[in-house]
Amino acid sequence: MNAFMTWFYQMSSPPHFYRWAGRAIPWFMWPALILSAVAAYLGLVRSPEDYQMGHTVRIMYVHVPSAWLSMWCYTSMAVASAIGWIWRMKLAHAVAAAIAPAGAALTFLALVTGAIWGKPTWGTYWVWDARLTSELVLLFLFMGVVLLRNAFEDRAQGDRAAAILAIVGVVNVPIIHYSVNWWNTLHQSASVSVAGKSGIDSSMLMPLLLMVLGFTLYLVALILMRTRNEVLLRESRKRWVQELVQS
Amino acid sequence: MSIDSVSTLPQNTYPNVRVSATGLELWRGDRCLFNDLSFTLNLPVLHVCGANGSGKTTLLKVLCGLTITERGNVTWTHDKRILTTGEVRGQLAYTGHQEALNPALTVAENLQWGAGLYRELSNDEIQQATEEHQLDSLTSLLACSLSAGQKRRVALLRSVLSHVPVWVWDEPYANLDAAGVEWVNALIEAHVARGGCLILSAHQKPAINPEQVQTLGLTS
Amino acid sequence: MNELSYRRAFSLQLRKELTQLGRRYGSVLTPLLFFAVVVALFPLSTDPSPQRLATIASSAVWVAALLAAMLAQQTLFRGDFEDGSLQLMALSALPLWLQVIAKQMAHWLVSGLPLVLLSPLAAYSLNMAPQGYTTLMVSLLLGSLSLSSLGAIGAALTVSIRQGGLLFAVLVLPLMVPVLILGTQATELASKGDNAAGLLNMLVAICLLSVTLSPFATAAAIRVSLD
Repeated sequence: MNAFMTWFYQMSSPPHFYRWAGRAIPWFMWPALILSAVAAYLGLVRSPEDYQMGHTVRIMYVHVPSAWLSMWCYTSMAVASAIGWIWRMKLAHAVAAAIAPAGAALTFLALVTGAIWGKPTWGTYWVWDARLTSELVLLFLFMGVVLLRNAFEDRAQGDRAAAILAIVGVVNVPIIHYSVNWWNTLHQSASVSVAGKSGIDSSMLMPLLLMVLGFTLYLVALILMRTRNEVLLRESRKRWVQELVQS
Repeated sequence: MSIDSVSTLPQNTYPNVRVSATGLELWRGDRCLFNDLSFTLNLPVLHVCGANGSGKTTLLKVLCGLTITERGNVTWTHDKRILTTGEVRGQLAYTGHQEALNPALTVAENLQWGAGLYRELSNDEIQQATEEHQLDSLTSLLACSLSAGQKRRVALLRSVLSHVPVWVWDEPYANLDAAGVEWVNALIEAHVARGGCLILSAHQKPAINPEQVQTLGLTS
Repeated sequence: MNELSYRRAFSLQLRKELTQLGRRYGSVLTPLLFFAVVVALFPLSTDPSPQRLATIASSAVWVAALLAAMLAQQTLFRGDFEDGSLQLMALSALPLWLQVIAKQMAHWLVSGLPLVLLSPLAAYSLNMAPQGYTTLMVSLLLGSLSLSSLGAIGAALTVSIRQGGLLFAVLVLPLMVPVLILGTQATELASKGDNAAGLLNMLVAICLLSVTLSPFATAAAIRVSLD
């Protein structure tokens, strides 16, 4: 615990974080690329076609990881915001600011791939399926946080406002999720979820898990890169940043 | 108006509340409002002066705890004992650029509300106070019909009625005529005579006993 | 801080708001009028046969009420922010969250409650079965309370932003999804003659959660906006 707290305090120093993240990014990025490449090969070439959906099932290897990670993004953004709020830690706000657009992009990706997957499965690009609807509301929540942060001229003020919204949102996310699911079961007509009901074969599960892992590592690398930028923006008048720019 | 004639103020003396600041640093965008600003208030009156945009209002808000600085601390003490944020709030009456008068309420209702945030007070007390300060002709008017100078006077009277040891006044002299300026000075002297403390921002030094005034100049 | 000052904080703020709102009857009438206009748009934009209207009645009334209540909520702190009263409230020794509750309550009494009372009329015009009226009113009562507290957070967050009105709507409406779902389903069930008590219980839970927790978030948001 003590060692962790020491690490935590060191990390809260922006220049320390900046240097650490610079070194850490390749350690996430390379495994992410390799894992995704392997998973893509296994998933797209080696794994069999689905007996119902044929080749279209392969979009799952993008859709599922982005849908999972979009939820993860919102939660971690809220946690970072809470840390930033409680301990007045600027770095945590920078992390939250870095996650928000990445999370919005993933949510958007999940929606688009869901729609593409929907066309051959349901015969239409959009149905008000529980998962898609939840993702859509999640996208609204992400966009709200991004827009609110940008609406303030003062960065610190925008950070704190976005933090409140993220924390309020994360309390609501499970309620929204369950209410949408419940609403959907009431009106279940066209939306038969296919991948969820039929058990998934190991030849598909393996590449899917690898892809999830690859996506996660890539996301971490991306967040670290974006956080570095946010740190530079927030600290632009500090001496260490100016020295960095000049060198 | 003599000092003793301000009967709107409490009869007893105020506790000795003072403020100090160490290493305040605040930025607005890329503009540095103050960097490493430190001071200790030893006298009853702190006069903050500086050119437009030098951060007078912001400093006042920082001292009240409305604005958070990037670095540094503001410490309020009561006879050397450090006050908590909650304790400070009960001791301090703020009058900002905006007068905090609701346009749809009458002057009396506005005073009832504004001073009521600090203590319980009766209608009679408000009537008496407005009479004493020659504002009784305004009490039943809606705040939206007042002139800028009248609004200022009502807002300052609210601080007087709240019976707290610290007044924080942002530009109290703005929009006031010569008689108004004199009235404000008399209020300040009466407050100080009761052991109160005043923090004000103004371009000119208040015309009161200079031994009671500490000046803090801000440069942009 | 004793019990007395808690009571004083509450009554002081409630009295001020009610007096203030009472003098501007526009603040009471505008949301009601807006509600009526939006309800009228639904039959105009579809086939107005009674059978068809009955199928959309609960959702139309709910959406119109949601939008009207939100419109009223949007300027909750605007006036106090502009005239500086919000600074005074935040600097007072009286707890800000309690002042927030009082203010919310006053606004709900003049803008939320009339909507609830008027809703059966709107439902009647859309040919909803009369057995659904009670549930409609109860669910709107709970929903408007919930919106009033969640909306207060949004109003406090956007009060210092110029043209924050649209942003306010974008922030608050997604949070209202569960309330909307439960409210319309309950009304729908009741108007078909089914028992909607379970859904109303869930609405009560959501309402209690938002009413009790949101004042603290609103108070925090006010302090951020005053920075």
